[in-house]
Amino acid sequence: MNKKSIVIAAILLVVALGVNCFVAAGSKEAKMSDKNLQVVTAPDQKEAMENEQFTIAEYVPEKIDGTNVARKGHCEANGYTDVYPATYANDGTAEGTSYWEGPANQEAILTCDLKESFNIHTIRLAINPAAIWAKRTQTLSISVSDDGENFKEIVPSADYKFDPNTGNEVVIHIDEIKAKYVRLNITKNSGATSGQIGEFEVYSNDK
Amino acid sequence: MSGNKNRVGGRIGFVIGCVLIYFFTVGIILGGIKVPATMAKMKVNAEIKKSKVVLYDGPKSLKDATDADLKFATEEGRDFEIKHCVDTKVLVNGKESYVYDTNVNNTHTWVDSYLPGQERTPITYFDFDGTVEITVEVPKTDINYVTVRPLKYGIKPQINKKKHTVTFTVDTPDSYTVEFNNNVKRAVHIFANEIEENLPDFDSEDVLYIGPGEWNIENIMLEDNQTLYISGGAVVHGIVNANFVKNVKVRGRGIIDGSTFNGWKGRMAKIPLKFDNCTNFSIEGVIALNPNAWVLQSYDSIGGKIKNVKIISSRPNGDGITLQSCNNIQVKNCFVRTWDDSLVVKNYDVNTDGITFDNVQVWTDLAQSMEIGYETNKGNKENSKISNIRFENITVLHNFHKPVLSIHNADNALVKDISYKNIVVEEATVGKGDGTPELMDIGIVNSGNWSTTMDRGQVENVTIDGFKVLYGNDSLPSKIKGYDAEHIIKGVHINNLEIKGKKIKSLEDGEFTVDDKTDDITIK
Repeated sequence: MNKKSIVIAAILLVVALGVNCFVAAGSKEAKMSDKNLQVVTAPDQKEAMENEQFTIAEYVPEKIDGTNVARKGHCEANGYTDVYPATYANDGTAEGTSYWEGPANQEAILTCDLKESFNIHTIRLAINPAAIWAKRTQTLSISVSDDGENFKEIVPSADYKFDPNTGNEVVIHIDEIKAKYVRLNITKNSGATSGQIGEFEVYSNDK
Repeated sequence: MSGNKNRVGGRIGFVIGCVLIYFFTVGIILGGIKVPATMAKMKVNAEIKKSKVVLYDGPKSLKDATDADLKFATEEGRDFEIKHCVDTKVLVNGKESYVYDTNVNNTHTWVDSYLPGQERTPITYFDFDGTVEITVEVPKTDINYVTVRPLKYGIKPQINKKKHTVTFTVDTPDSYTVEFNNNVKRAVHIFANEIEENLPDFDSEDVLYIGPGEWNIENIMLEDNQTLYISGGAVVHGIVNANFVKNVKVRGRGIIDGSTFNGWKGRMAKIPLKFDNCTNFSIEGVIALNPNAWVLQSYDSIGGKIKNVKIISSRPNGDGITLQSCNNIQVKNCFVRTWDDSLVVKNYDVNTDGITFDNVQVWTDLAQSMEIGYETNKGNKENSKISNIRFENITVLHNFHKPVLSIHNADNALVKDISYKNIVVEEATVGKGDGTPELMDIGIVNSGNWSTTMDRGQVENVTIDGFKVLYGNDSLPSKIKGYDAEHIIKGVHINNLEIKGKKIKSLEDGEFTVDDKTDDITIK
């Protein structure tokens, strides 16, 4: 082996080492800088929890004197939407799909025939109390009649807020008046294209 | 003698020298072969070092999924709760990303009892910027073959059989799905988001913030101008709805989970994201899993943006994104895996106009991937119309059951100006279970299940430009059928249709059945 060969071997050795060191170094797994890593940690929980922001204070509904005389009456309307006829407005429940929804995009008129005349003092209007029935405002007036044809306005048109946090109900006290028919005229509903009433209750102390 | 002065070790030295030179040369060659790959790896490593990653710990209260939790069962056979996945690990740049086990439905037959059998599959999510290396470890699986979808990225993963790992890099925020050994079961869905920017002002009274953790919030009803932010790491058992409101937003990275609700069975649907009669709503970044029915609904709304929403449904009627009588809605960069139609447009009330689905990944276990209909005038309105619907850059990862592309005009509406552009179907195994074999189905029909009106409608001006099927059934027929002489399909123009590598230049080549209640049907 002459010196020339030794030099060649040495050069080859250096190159081989260099190449393989380069390959070995380059093949190492990359490490991301910790400053570029953000880990969003979870709180200590043993089970799913209520979230304070969405918990609702217990609501105690107002106790209304007398009897709901609309329950045995008969409700009719100037129309209804989809599968929500007027008869659902006094069937004793506002839950589920038991509600009346008036004809879309027009004044909704719901009339309850109490079957006999009563001295009435309070009207309770309710829609489904479930939270999924979000807050809405309905603009409505109330009128009464003895013959079902000639109505007298006893509550002028005003906005009423229905809020699931407060039972989605509105209680309207009126000066006691004798009536056989009670009518709602709903001109606006911020939560639908027409008026919606789950329960239309009319209270009297006559029974 | 002078020649010997320069020689060392004589003949033995010569042999040793030759051997050394041989080995050094081989070393150089072998090392040299790896140099290009090493340089590429170094370049990627440099990118990885610079990358930014946000990981989200899952709720500590979620239970680990046991082997029994992963078995095929109906919702009466086991609990359906979302679980912490422990048989699959996902590392992002070497850091563990929390993996959930969520319900999926790998069956392809409708079940009248509303109780199809289901399994679970792993999902994970994180945010990143730059290039990240993802390693999926499945200790119980012998890995022979791996597919990383969507195929457009050409990802060639490195498999380590000994360690039961697969590793690949990604540089584009998107949804990635890893399938092992040509099997869709236990496919790992990886939602790699971009890093969030322009976060809402959490001090604002119009912003509702839900932090990491597991929360029972049955109903969240949004009011005008509110933003709901669901943080990454949050699992919310409940629904988010908005009704007759404007300018509402849902943002974040968290999960809206319906696994605690019983299946709806045709009665009580708990829709995770329901935005009805809204004006200018926005849903961005969140994940919806385990709904008890369909997933993201908007009805009678005007102006909506649905971006980077990830959806997996597994129970009956689990439609993905269903837009009913809406105007000007954009759906972009979403992932939708469903056990019913994935992307749906219908008329339930007023006319639909201006809907765009852009860059959406779809995986349809049951029914159709892109469906217009069947209900095109359920509200029984005069002059009902569905118009200007665009599907662009849609990647269908799997479509097992019914047509990939379908227009079923089952009422008396006019369906017109519908376009499909750059549609890629990675696997079209249409017709499984009780499905139908068509790839495309455009028809005017009278449906006992879905028609409302007595009259029939028309379909006009449908363009399909760029529709490619990569893999699929040996035969992938399509049909275009009108109803009668007055209710026809007029103007369907198909360009750049390619099925399993074959460019389709005629209706015959494309196995199209076209009846005589049609006019101006072209393909080129």
